[in-house]
Amino acid sequence: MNYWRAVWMIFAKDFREEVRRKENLAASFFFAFLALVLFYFSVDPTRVDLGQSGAGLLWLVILFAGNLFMGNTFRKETETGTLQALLLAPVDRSAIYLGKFLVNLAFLLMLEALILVFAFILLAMPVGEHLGWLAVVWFLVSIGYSAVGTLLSSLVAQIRGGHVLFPLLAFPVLIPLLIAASSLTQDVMIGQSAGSVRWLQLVGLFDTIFLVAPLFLFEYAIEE
Amino acid sequence: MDFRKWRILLWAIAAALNAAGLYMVFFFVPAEMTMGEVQKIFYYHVPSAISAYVLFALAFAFSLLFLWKEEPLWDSLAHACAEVGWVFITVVLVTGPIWGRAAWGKWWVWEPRLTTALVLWLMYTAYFLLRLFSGHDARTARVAAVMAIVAFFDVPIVHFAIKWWGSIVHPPKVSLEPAMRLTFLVTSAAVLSLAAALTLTRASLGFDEARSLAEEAQ
Amino acid sequence: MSAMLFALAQMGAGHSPSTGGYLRGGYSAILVILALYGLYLWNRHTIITRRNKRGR
Repeated sequence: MNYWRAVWMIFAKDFREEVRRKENLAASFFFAFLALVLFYFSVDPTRVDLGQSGAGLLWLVILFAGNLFMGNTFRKETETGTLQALLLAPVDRSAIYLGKFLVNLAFLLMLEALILVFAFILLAMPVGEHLGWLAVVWFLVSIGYSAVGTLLSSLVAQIRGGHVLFPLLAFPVLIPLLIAASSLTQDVMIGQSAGSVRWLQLVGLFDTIFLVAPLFLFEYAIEE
Repeated sequence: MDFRKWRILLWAIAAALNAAGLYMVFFFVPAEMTMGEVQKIFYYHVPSAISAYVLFALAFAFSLLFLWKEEPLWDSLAHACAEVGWVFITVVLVTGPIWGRAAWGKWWVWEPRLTTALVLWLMYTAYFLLRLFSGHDARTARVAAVMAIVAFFDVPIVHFAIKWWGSIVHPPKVSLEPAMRLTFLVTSAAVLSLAAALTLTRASLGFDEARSLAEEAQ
Repeated sequence: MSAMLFALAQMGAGHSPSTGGYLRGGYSAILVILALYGLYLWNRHTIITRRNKRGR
């Protein structure tokens, strides 16, 4: 079987199954909405201008809500014992990783689109003016989050009760990405671009490292 | 695997160097002009940071070796390096604020190098949680090795992210008086040898534990 | 350099320049951390030896 065809088939099958099962996605999307509402209650809206300083809040919500489905990337397989079958498939292991990575990326982008809409309507954040740039930045950051999330998710899936560990492993590793994402988002929202280039370079470096390393590591990360 | 001789030798070197180092810190080296006595924390603070970074790099290398060769020896070594590295990064995180309180008037300043140390502490604490949650089998070793590699790949990115994010900086290059430089060299050797002795002791404990668990399993 | 200047400014503001207490505090903290780690290693060592004895 052709490598990219295998990647595509894993992506299509998993995407369809997850959408059909709904529970992970429903939990994550609802949590994002809930967290935004809670965040709004936690600040004094007469004193804090979310347009000036709210970008980090959006990224925290994305991080927390995303971990609800990303931590479960391999849980279904380990619980039903179908991981062995998947691993026995005559494809390179990295194809499994890439397929799962694409599923997580797709869900993360859906989650972010939802958060953008909420931020625009509920929090009156200036996200509409530079939507193109925002899309580019958020897409690049999402690649990094999904890449790390998919790899770490494969680790915790092999440990009993390990899904609790996912955010504990992932969030420290994601700290530089969170800093970059918050700065970039804030810059885009207030229409300032000084310093953005090096943050984009940092995100690019993060994406490259954590997309290339798992292609070699994943084979060892997951074994029957 | 028995490192008994090496262990004794390393501990002897570490004890001698640390005795000399502590003597120099408290009785030989002059206090720095502006910060006063507290600056002498530097002589153990900075070498602890260096030791931690070296040990994390070694944990990375041993983790790669373990994934490649699948010898339990490499896993024990990686585990020992990460653990002792964690102890020394904890030393950095505890002595940093004590120095900071005296020099800056605040316990914690979000200063780039200290913050980087904090992020490293978080990542390697997660690594030990991963080990804590799982047992003593080969799978745990494999999973932990991957986590150690991921954490180490993240170090340069963390370094730059926090450097650009923060604003307060350490003096980029400290020029030391000859007496200070000599003391720093001795304490660096002292801390590094202590780190080596601890790592070897921890690693041989790891072998013993793996062996006794294997015997019990039979 | 800026850290040094910052420190100087702090002291000018009336901060006590006698910082020996912090120095001793710092080294005591190092000693405590290393002692705790030593205790942990010793504890593991006794557990392993006990297990080995029981095994034989």
